[in-house]
Amino acid sequence: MLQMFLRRLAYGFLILNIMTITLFVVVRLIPGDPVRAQLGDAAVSPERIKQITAEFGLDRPVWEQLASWYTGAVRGDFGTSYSLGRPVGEVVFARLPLTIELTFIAVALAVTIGLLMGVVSAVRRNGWLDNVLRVTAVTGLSVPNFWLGLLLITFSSVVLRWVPPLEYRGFFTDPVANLAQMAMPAAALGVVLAASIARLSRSSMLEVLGADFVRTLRAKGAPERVVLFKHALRNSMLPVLTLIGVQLGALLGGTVILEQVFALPGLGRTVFEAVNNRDYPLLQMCVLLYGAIFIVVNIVVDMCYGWVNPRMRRAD
Amino acid sequence: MSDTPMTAAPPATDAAAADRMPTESRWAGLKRFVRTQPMGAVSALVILVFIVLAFGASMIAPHDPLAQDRTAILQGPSAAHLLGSDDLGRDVLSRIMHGSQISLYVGTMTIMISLLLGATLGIASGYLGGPVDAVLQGFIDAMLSIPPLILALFIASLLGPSVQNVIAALAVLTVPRFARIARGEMLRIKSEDFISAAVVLGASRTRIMLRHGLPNMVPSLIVVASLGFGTVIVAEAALTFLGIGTPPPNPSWGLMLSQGATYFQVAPWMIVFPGLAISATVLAFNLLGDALRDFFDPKLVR
Amino acid sequence: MTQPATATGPAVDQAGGAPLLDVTDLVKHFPIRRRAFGGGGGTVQAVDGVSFSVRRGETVGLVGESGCGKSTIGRLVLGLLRPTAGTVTFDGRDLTGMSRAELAAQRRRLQIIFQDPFSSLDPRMKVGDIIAEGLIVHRIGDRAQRRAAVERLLAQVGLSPRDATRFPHQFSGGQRQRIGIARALATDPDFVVCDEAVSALDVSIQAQIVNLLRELQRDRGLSYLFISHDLNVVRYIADRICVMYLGQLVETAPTEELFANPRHPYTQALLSAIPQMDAEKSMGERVRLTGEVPSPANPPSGCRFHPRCPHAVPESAARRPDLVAVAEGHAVAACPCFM
Repeated sequence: MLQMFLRRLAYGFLILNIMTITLFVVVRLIPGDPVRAQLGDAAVSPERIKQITAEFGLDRPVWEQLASWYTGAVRGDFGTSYSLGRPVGEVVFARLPLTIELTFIAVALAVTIGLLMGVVSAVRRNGWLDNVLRVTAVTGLSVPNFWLGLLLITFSSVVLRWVPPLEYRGFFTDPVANLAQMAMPAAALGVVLAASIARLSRSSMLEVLGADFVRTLRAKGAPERVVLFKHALRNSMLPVLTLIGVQLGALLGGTVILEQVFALPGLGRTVFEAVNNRDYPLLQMCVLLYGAIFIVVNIVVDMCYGWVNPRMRRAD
Repeated sequence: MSDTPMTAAPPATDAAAADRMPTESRWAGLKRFVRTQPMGAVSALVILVFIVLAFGASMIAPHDPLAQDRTAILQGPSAAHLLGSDDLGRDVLSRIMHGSQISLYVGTMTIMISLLLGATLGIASGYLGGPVDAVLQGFIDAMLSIPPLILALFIASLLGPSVQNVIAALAVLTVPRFARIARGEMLRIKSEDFISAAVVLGASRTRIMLRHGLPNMVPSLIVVASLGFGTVIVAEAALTFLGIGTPPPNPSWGLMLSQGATYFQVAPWMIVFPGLAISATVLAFNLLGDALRDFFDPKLVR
Repeated sequence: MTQPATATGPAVDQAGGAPLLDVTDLVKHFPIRRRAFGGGGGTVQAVDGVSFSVRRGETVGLVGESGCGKSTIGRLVLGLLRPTAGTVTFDGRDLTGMSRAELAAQRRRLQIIFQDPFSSLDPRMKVGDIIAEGLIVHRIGDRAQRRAAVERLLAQVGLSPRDATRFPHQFSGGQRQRIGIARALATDPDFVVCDEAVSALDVSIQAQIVNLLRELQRDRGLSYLFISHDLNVVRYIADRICVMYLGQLVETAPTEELFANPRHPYTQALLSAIPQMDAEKSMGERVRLTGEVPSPANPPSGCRFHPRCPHAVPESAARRPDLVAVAEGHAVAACPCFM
């Protein structure tokens, strides 16, 4: 188990490095001048441009730049943002909590609603409720999350005449305002995951309910409630867990656009700005962080899998 | 063992496996699909409408999608503008119809590139194995660890806004996914005896991959392509919504949403209808993908 | 069993000089699979020092329990797997040292018939294309000639020429096995490995296929390596039998000799496990095998059979027994427990 964990960790680390190096090189090979992007339309002398280029270190060969990035990264220095002039580590970690909160709420909503839909669907298999829920689920898979966000905000402002506070409040400074701001984007973000969970948990519930041990349980006279929740649901949690790991990437990507729609100053918005400003160090840091989150969560999911399912513990 | 007569007469007795997919004609196959997967058939019809709309937009659309009408700005649905008009007085319905062209074009091109490149990489990596496979897997894992939208955003912004670049960016997203599927399929197929038989016959590796590997993964690839089409349409709209995808004034669904976002309180129809168009199209591709999967693999109980 | 196996056609070409296929000290170890960065790990000794030969027109049966490495030998002989050590010599040439291209050129002379008639035919290809594949690959004949060849082969294995345009799933297991045979024979090979070729079939169809194989051998002078766990079938078709246990040969003898005079305790146990139709033929006491087959990843020392052997003596575990000739063409792994 520990060995498997370490192996996964080592592989994750390797993947992060492949990601870092590829990104680093590709950014610098594809045309697009970051210096001009920082200056905007301002008229600047060629000497000044040359000076800024040297300041950013962009006049050196790519491999040299990469080496100095790594030397810095080892000491916890991931570079300085071109556009903000502050260390990227500082910028990113200030904005990370919002994105994590948003993602977390979305996952929590999705799991609750998705599992509920899946269980009801499985119990009422092929009934009208099942059919309605299945159509709802596949529709949920097809609706773009940012459009849903737009619809939610339109509905709340036009029909309910309510809009969340405009200026962002942190959870610890003003929890009520914070949650009011988070509710709609999190709901929009979680829809696809909820729909996937509903579909998956329905089919895995049906599978478990058809299994021999469930038949034995029923034959032994176990109450249906126990069969359903203690056994069937628990066994169908495993694939759901994996699904969350797989979908996390899409979820994190979704934060970029939803933070934009709802004007939330999170990591997603930062990525978007970094991309627009050709802010290489900031972009590098964001992508690295997203990748690390994705990889770590997936390792955790795999470990949970091993924990819940003892057969996996001694795999290999 | 008793002495059975030595004979060349074929035993006509054991007809075991003749129940699954006999050599039905294309037409018969289609009929069986419609009969067993009615939802899939309806979806296919919706997709057909979508395609016809895309090709015939200039003939069917009631207005020129770029024509501005200062007298009809931000008007709700009416007889003149069935789905309302936008901030420049352009007809929303006509713009949606023309917008389908971009979605269809970007979707088709991206999926074709992904199929070609992804399947090639996946088949080669799965069949040849070894260091090529290991390196490729590392890259694919790295690609899949970056949230898809961020990767696309990044590439599209580096390349600059144009339809071609959107396709390139989306292909970078989908190629690794297709490659992973194709690799898994190739690994499954590789373990079958008919591959060993081909090796023993002296078939080259290329021949084995193309003549035996590829045809046997076509069903899975079709399903993935159908589901992928929906994903690509949403991703294109998202990029364009963020201002990094298809450049204006081309009427695309993502652009309409981003323009409508400014006026959501006064002109909700500007975001409701393009979004419905996206959702309906994607839903059709998802349902078709589901139906095809059930059709190709009837063992799965739903 | 009314027909003695040695009377099978022109098989007993004992005089004919060098063997067609000669396997010497063949070893195959599989590393135990690990994920990335695994390193280390043990090996499965699937085949561990096996030697035998097959003469022209001869059928050699290779028997043993499942997992004893007999199918691995079949794959090694055909170059589907590369041996860890040892050589496979076919018609005087060493196959193990050949490059991929050289091997591909030899391939038309060595063929295989598989156990599973459902996995062995490409479901997306028409039967005619399946059979013609060897001809296409080796550029034999033009389109018309290949079609004629396919029809001829179909007739030879007892199918109709019309079947060429149908797909494998339209055929039964036995018919599919016939298609597999036709494919193997298309390039006119000298040597065919039959890897459990009839094991997946019903008994009545088994007989038909075995008879077909014998008929084809008589007509074409084929050599077979007939791999099976079913001694009844092997007895019916093989001229000589090699008995394997856990990756090693324990006994080899002409078929009748082996059945009449089995020396190794394992062979005796295998033979006594055959359900006897005619009670007059007694093998003496029925020898029961106890325990499970040990893992080839960690095989017993000395005589690998000793943990399950009813006669095992302490010395059995000490040293690996050599194959020793006990009669004309009859060799046995001389474990101290019986020799």
